[in-house]
Amino acid sequence: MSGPICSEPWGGKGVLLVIKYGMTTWRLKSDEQLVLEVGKGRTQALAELVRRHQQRALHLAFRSVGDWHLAEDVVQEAFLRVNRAAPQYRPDAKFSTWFYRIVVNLCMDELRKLQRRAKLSDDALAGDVSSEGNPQHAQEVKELQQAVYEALDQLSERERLAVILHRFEGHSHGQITDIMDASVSAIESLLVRAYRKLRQGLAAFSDKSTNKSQESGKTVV
Amino acid sequence: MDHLTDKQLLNILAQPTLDRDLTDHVAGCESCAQRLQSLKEPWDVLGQWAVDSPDIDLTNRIMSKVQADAPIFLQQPRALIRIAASIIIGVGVGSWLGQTTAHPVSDQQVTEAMYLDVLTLNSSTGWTSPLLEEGQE
Repeated sequence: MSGPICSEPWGGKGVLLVIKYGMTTWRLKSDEQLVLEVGKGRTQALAELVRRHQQRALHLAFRSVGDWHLAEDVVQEAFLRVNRAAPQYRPDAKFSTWFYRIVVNLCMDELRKLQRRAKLSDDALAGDVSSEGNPQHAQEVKELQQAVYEALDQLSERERLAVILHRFEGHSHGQITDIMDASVSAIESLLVRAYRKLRQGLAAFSDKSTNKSQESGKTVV
Repeated sequence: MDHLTDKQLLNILAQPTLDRDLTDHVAGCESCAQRLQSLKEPWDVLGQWAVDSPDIDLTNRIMSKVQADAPIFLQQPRALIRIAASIIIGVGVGSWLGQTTAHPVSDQQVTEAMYLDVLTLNSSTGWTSPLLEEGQE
């Protein structure tokens, strides 16, 4: 850096402190405050929202559509919609609920577009750390994950997303009703119906899973 | 005995240790236990689906798109300010120059004006009056 201010010893440090303070200030703001700032045209606020929520949104999108590139497109579009709608945002609505509703709706749109859902690619299938050096176990893990994906594929878009929000994202029934814009009873019926369908599709793996849970004492999430 | 609702069974799935009364009921009710098991089996299998996400950071990509989608005057506000300033300064200077700069009239222009005045008796300039007076003398 150069210039009359930065040429002084304290000048450069002062500038860095201002920048660091600015970044820290964004991190101290709540999601709702950040959206209001986005509505005023402050793009750094949007960058902070992206930093906070992109990973979770990506996981949600990936579990829904089964492809990382598609998941990236979904999440990108979700944040762009946040940016466009921010001037009309009312802070009485919780940002996470609003945002995940956008993500869920985009996922449902993508699921409807996919006429024939492709199998998960090998890249998409997670590599279980415990299977390193154990090819047989790695293969079993991949088969299980493929079976889970195919079983989810048999559900309707709403059933699938409700299960993903409930099982993987840890949302409560109330949160799911807000995100999916449905009643509590409708969501509960949706979940019960979905789990029972999944039970049929995953019956072959149920016994193995029960044995592993008993051996390890915990369930992989 | 009242059996557990679907909501209660789903709550046990998500938080098994939350409500002791519910779990105690399941332990003593075969029907509820079977219903819970029908939900728990797929729940446990789903738990095996771990997602190992690649190292993705969409921040720059999203911010670039936001910048690209913004109207032109938001994309380059400094350029807009410079253009506006240039226009204002140009108009202001031009106006000032127009008001302060004198434009001398040539002899030819004066002659032409006099010829035009002669064509009409009501001269707006008054230059022909002396000529008419000389003629009258």
